[in-house]
Amino acid sequence: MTMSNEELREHIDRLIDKGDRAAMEKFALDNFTELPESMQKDVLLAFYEEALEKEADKSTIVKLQVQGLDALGKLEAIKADLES
Amino acid sequence: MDRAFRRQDEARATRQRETVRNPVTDEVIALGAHDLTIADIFKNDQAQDLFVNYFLRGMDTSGGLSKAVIAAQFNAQPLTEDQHLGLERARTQFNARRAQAEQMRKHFSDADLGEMAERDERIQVITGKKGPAFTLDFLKGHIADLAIKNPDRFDEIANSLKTVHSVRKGEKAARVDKLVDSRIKQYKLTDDTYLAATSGDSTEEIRKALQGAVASKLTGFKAALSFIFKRRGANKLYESFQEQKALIDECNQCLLDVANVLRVTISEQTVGALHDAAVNGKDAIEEKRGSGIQSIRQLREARDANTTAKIIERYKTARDTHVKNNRSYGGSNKWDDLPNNNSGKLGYPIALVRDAFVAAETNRQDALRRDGDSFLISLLEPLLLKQDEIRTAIDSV
Repeated sequence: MTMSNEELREHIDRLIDKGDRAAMEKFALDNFTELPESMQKDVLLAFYEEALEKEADKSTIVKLQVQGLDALGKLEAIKADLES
Repeated sequence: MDRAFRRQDEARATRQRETVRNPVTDEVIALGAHDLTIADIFKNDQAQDLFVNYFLRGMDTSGGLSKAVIAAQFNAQPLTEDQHLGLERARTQFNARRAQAEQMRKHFSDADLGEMAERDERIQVITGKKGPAFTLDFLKGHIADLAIKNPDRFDEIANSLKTVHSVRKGEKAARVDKLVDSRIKQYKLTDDTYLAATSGDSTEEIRKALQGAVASKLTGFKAALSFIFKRRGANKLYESFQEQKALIDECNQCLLDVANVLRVTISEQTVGALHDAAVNGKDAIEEKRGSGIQSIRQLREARDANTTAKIIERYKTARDTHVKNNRSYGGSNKWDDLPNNNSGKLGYPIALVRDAFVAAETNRQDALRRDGDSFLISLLEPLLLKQDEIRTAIDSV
């Protein structure tokens, strides 16, 4: 059953005063299906967006890794030439 | 002259139509069914609502064009030349945004959702509770709305998807990690770079230090490559034994530099720290961004500023200011003496003052919903008074 605005407000008020983001996320996940539908969409998209950003950070690093490996390969080849 | 400007504008609109791109793949896309005329938009209730109440309002902060368009559509009032041009610009961009939103929706597939759920436990929990099909529909619908209602946020999501997409198309992250791991094993490396990068006191400092490390990687790679090409281009690699030794030393140093920074990239902590810093370090830059909720402290402030008492307080201030202005124009200095409607009595009608106050409060709320931490903003709605509640509150004064 969907939580009333008053109930929701009470919960969120308490969480804000506590100042704990992890507790806020836990509340949203534990009570996800009881949240109003528009809020469910907002919460889902917020989490998805954050996960995507994290993935994009990782992807940026992968691009650098590919460049780095390429540089290593070329450097090792030139070193072999120098040593021969 | 006007005709010349109109032609320029039409040419610009045509160019924009021709160069609408997929926000993730950058390919040119056709507008197809999204190439709507103004008449088409007004025939469709949903398109009309999005265009007038969100898109036009977002483009035209004064609200003048939105009002003129509504008056033209429903009361057959003619638009000025400038309004025509503004409307045409808005229509072209509106169509482009909708076409881009459709392309974005295609990037939300079962497979993508599955991958994100594997990586993020929160997505997994929600998918478990609502089912994958429902969750996917939720996301697709919301993305389409965002394209019109919050284009900046839509662009941010598109940029992240673009980065992820380009890497997924090429190398797989896990495979590259393994490759890096095995390739750098032969070098004697320390954790100095990572430790130096993460020794800052605040997340913002960590973020800056890591960004610095990333920048130095690029510089290191470029220097290494330039070194290689310079030597490869020469017929002889060295002139003497001393030079050979110096070159080998230089090469070893480059190898060590590159390997050292690669070492940083395979640390899960690096990715975690970068992300945490990006999320939690926002406090440090919030002053620059102005509006929107970036931290729990700001969420608390927004809540405290949007109580009935605070709204009444702001209303009283607005009312006092209005009475003062009324007096300076020769009207009464008492609120109760102001006209209730357009009765011809000197002064701006009370009803319009109230309407303007409610509109200003709605704009304040909209500003809070923009540019912030999306999760914290998602908790904001129950804390804000609805328009009818604001009216009831000020009617009680």
